[in-house]
Amino acid sequence: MKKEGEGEDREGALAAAGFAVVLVLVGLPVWWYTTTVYRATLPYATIEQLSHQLRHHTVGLDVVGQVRASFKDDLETKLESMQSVKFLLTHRLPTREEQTLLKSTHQSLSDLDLNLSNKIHVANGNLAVVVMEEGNNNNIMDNSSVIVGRQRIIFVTPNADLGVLASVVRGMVMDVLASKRAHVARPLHQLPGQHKQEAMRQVPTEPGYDVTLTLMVPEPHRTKVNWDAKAAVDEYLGPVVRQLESVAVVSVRSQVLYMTGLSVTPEWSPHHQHYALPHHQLPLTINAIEAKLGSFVWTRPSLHFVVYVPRENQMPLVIHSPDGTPLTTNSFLVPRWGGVMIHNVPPVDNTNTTTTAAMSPRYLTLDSHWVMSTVITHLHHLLPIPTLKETPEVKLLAPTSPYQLTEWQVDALARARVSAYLANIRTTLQSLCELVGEISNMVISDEVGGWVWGAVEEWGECGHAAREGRLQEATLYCTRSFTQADAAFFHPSMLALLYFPDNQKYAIYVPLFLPVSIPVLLSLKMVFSLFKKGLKSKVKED
Amino acid sequence: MKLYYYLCLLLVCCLPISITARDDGTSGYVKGKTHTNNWAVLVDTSRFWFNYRHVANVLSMYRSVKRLGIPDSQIILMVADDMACNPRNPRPATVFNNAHQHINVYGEDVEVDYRGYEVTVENFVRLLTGRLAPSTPRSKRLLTDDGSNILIYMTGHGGDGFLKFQDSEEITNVELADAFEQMWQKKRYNEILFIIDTCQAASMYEHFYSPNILAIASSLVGEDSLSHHVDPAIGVYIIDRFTYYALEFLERVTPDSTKTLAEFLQVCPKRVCISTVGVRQDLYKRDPKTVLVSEFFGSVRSVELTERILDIPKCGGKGKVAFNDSQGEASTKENVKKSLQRKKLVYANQLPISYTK
Repeated sequence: MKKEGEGEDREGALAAAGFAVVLVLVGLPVWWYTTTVYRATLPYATIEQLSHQLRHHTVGLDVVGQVRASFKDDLETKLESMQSVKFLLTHRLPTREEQTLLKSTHQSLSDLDLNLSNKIHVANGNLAVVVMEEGNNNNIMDNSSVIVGRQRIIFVTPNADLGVLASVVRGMVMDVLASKRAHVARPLHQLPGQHKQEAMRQVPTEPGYDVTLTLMVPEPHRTKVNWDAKAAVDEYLGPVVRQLESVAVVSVRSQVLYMTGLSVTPEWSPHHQHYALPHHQLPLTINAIEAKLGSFVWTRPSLHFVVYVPRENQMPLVIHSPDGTPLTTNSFLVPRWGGVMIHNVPPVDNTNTTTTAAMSPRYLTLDSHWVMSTVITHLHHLLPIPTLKETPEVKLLAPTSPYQLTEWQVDALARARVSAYLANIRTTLQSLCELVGEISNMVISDEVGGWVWGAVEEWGECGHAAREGRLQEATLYCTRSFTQADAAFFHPSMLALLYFPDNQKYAIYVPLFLPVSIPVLLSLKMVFSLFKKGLKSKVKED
Repeated sequence: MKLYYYLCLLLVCCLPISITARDDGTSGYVKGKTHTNNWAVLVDTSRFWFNYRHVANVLSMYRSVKRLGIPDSQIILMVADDMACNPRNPRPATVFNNAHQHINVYGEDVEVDYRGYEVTVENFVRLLTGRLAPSTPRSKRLLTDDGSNILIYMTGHGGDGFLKFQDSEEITNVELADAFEQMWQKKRYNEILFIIDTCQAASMYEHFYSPNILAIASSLVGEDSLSHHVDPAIGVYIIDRFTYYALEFLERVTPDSTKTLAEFLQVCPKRVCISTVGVRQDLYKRDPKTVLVSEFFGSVRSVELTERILDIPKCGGKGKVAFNDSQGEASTKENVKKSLQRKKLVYANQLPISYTK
């Protein structure tokens, strides 16, 4: 009898042990393998390492000409104060060809600039300082000590103030405010005064922009505007867009908006004989028309430039500045959005027209030069294209058509954008790593993994290129890296909502495993007690 | 003796001045506006006829925000059910917030971006974080940048820590806080004004941890938000108390008004709202007394007058402003005909089905 009981117990114990074994050896691995999510490996260490790397640009500065020995060292000390840019100064004497060019007396500075640029071949991203000969061509420098050329050359007199030259070089290399901003990378509301205004005006740094030119004609039955927008854009904006191609892709479109006007209430000013539009009415003007501008398809940031032909009963319409004086340019800039200009037309000659003639619409052509000059001015403020202040000491050579931008301006813009990109990519990738680390069961598809690896690689290359002064490559790398990092960050599968956070794991697994494991664990207790009894009996027997 | 008296008086007068001066320096409040554009995300999460008031709530906000200037392209309106064209609506194509039909909040041009069953928790969080499918149209995206002030208004049925979406799912306060944090990390907002009008609404802002968010809730945890009144013709409550008084306040605001957020925070005292309005200000560094209502509800741009334009060399031919008389008509007709003959009409490339790299 005892043996049978014992046998039953033994069978029970074996069964319980069997259950436990199957649960642990088969169940756990199957559960583990079937619930692992696919996570492509990401280069966390590289991202961490690259985030802490100090970034700076290197600019090569070539000093050409006969100068005193301390010139180069003094200039170097003065330029050291710029935080995110390091200068590599070299000094050499001019070659024979360059000397002949410098010595020739019958040429203007712009010709000299052109010829010298062809001879010296300043590389992309670098600058050259050419020191003019003493006592030679005194009138070529036009009584100023520093003249900035159209490409990458600065002309200085031998006894120029090095402080002035240093500040000119600093301004040419990168917008001073932009360099400070990129170095610190603070959000808008923490920036002080002027930085904040600059940062609030310029468009966010993105690889491409959509520029839309809108001609608003509120009364098409009274005014038929004939404007060849395509020709105007090709002639004026086309060259600028082509010059900026290496830095940002700008696509330009134009449209005409009929039967829509700006909802403003100007007052007739008898003193000036025009309708005065006070400046405090301007902030609310574009809200009503904004929904009608722009594309509903592209998601690139858009810039709108509006040319407004006023209504017949509000013509001529002139904006007045806060002190009551009419604004000659008759245009205003809306930060980060674009610009609006009011294009008045000559008044109707009422003297010798019959009533029927007065009712028929009048045809008019717009002044393309004025319109496009305003558009380009606004574009310069928005991008922003760096400029230097002209003083009696410092002068700039005006750009020639069709090249509206000088080479150093494009370089400076590229440099500012590279700095902005680097800061942006760092926040994106760091944030992505944090998100992925927090939700341990988030699926990282191969697509996203590929983008992150690509972004990290090119980010490293961009920083490397910037430190070595290879500006064009740096821009290319940074643009690609930024696009890939954004594509990975905004991928639809990276939504945290789709995955269970860690603290909800217990709520899912406990109801699943507890009902199964409780009987097994309790029966294990029985197994162990039987085992102990068996041992004791063995000992007894022995 | 007299001198001593006067010195004491002077000291006493100077003391408050010095205290306030020190206060300004160390109070930590940031002055001046820092936003460049305004967006609004208005969400109504409940459907069915007996939730008419939630649709009226969100449309009241939509109306105010549009009236004060935010363009439709910068408003994302999510309405879960169509009350205006519901067969039970005795006054079709209108949604009133008042039994005496004072204001038709449906208006004449309402643009609903997410409608009906598209209003889901997933779509809402995707909208906030920007992780939308590549084919999502621009009107359904929140294209904000680091200078955008966003007004987020949510209404529906809520509980302690969640908000019910369409009777089938909920969004928790943790998910909402995480969504805002994702927005902050990618610099997709400057400041957020978060208004929520549900029962136990204050629980929804408990877990926020991103900076620059000012949250207003129509009731505290444990309280219910109550509706305002019934319209006998419609048969259900048509507006909630908090939104009713908020709308009353906003109706008196003009696009250039100087009413501050501090006044808006007082819009529904306990004696009219019955529930207590909860406010979370610790994440918001500016003093609501210095923030204008139009910084969130309106769209006042900062404008820079152009002092001078660049001297661009002239290109090509046609320059001066001219207007032609009768000859113009003939010549333009010819030009038009010629241009039509020359131009070959093509369809625009309208389908953005691939990522532009």
